[in-house]
Amino acid sequence: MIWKMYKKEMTDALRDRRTLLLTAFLPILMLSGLVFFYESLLVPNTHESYTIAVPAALDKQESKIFSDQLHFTVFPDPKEAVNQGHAKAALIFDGSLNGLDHGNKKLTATIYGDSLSQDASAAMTQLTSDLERYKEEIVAQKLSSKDIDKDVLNPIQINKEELSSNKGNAASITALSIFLPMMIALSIAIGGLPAASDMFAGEKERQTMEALLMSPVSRGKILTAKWLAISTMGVISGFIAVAVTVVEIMFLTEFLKLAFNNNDQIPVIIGASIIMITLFALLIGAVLMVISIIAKSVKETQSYSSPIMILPVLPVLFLSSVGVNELSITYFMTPVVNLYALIKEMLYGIVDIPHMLITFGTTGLCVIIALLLSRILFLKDKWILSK
Amino acid sequence: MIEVRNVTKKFRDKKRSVTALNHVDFMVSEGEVAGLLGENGAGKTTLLRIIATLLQPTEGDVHVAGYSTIKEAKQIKRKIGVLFGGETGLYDRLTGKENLEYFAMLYGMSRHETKVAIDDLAVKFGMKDYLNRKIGGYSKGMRQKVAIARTVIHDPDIILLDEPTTGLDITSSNVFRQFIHQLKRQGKTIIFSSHIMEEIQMLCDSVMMIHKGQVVYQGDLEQLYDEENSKDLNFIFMSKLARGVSL
Ligand SMILES: Nc1ncnc2c1ncn2[C@@H]1O[C@H](COP(=O)(O)OP(=O)(O)OP(=O)(O)O)[C@@H](O)[C@H]1O
Ligand SMILES: [Mg+2]
Repeated sequence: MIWKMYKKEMTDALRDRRTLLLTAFLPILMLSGLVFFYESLLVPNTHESYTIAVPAALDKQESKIFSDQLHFTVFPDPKEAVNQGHAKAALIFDGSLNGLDHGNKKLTATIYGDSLSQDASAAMTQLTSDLERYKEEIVAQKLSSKDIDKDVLNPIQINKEELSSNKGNAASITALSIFLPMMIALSIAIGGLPAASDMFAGEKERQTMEALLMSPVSRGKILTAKWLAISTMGVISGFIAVAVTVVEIMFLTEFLKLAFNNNDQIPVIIGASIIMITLFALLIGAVLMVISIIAKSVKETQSYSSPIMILPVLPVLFLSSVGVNELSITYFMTPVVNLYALIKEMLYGIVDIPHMLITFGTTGLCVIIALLLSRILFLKDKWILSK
Repeated sequence: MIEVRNVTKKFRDKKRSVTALNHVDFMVSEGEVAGLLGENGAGKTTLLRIIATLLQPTEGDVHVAGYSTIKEAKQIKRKIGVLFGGETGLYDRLTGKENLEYFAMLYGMSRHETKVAIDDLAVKFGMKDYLNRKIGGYSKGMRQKVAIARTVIHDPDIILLDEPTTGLDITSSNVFRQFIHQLKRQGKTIIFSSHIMEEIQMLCDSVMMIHKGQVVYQGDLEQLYDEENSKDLNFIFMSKLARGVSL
């Protein structure tokens, strides 16, 4: 009986063009945009060239100090030129760079620019490091002319080593560990919402609910069939999102795809992802169902669900800066957050069975709670009969 | 047989309490067609919902075919077919046939029983041409026919109809009236609510008038005509309200 009712709900939902559009098309569009956004963040700034405003032209020797990326252009007022956007940064000396070779002791170089702009700060960093390098050269020259070893100025050599799990693809993995769970959660919610709002609030509006409740089928069965159908729409949407994301990353990106390198746990990851997506879809399905039961109309359901749409994105705020080794058990015990935590771990190639079980367990527990709540509400006529 | 004994229904929303039905008593015997007459908000839908087991009375009790609506709702549901007015209670994205099949399935009918019932109803209502099209493209009359077919798909003994002809043109209304006649001949018990006095006059054996949740009159139509010395139900209804008479 439940199976037949489920089949009818699925037919009904799949014939709804709006549903299909929302469950398939919109997430694909959104995630394609995000794939390219994250990819662009990872592309190193190598071929860019920047215009630097200077008060007077540099001579040949002076320009040799600087990288080819920097193009120097003369402006009568270099700072104003930067303000006007004609140059990324300005470089002003109170003397001549060459003068340092010829006995001048000191020179002040002012670098002017907007360090909050990505391009300007890249230009300023380049200027600074070029000048630093030149400064060291001169210091070394001067010291050696006085027979002093240049290492006296550098008594401590600092070596920074990365966390062993952070291989060359750490940046790609970090980007993906935010992006992938967000996409999964959002697309599940987007996929389930139209079905959920239609199956309770919609049936109330169209008064099919009364006809349905007049049949001798128990309300528990009605609820179960609808819940499974809503969750199925979420699962479909979630899988499409993941599949499209992975395909786009593999074939259309250069840097994001590095995240999948050196990961020898792919089968386990796929298995865990299937369980995770399904459980999460069941959870979001139950929550959306509660909302739809309470709401009087499809429109009301949609406005009540806006917070549900934001919820899956929230963990980004406090998880993106947490390292994979800092993921404590609390992260895996918090619903929604654990989706992010588990995916991050798996992307790093870590398969931690207790973490997985805790994640599945807490999500499952939330499913049961949401389901019980929806059942209590669905048994009350107040929520399900239109006036 | 439907027995409504001393039923009161109160709705409480936002501290305000609305008494939709106030100590309502009435009876419809087997094979009787009873009309339910009342203005907007009189409590017609509420009364039908209580008989249909969808709502529980605040006070009093209701028995349908010997079963209590509170304790034995499931048995009643199998014996009863309900059509609530307003929207027709069909799924737009399913075809007429799929709608009927779905409800037949909910009533536990076998595939064969379903086919026989649908073929029979399709002929009866002249729905053959469009039953395989989606409800979304139906006219109001077509929808209403499918809705009525849905109501009787499981061959119920008792049929409750809440303003079934609202919004129908004369032809569709006539098809509907003929159908009621037919059901009556088969010995079905029917209650239907309406604003239209002529319809009640034409189809019903007995009538119940309610006003603001209270029964104004319940009994035989012929008897009412005799008592009031008039055959104009409209007039009788208005004068009863004016006098504030209750039985
Ligand atoms: N679920 C509900 N919650 C609160 N009040 C309700 C509810 N259902 C009905 N009422 C109130 O009960 C009263 C009777 O309503 P009911 O729908 O039974 O009237 P009706 O005779 O069917 O009217 P109509 O001719 O407009 O269909 C109205 O005042 C209505 O506002
Ligand atoms: Mg009504």
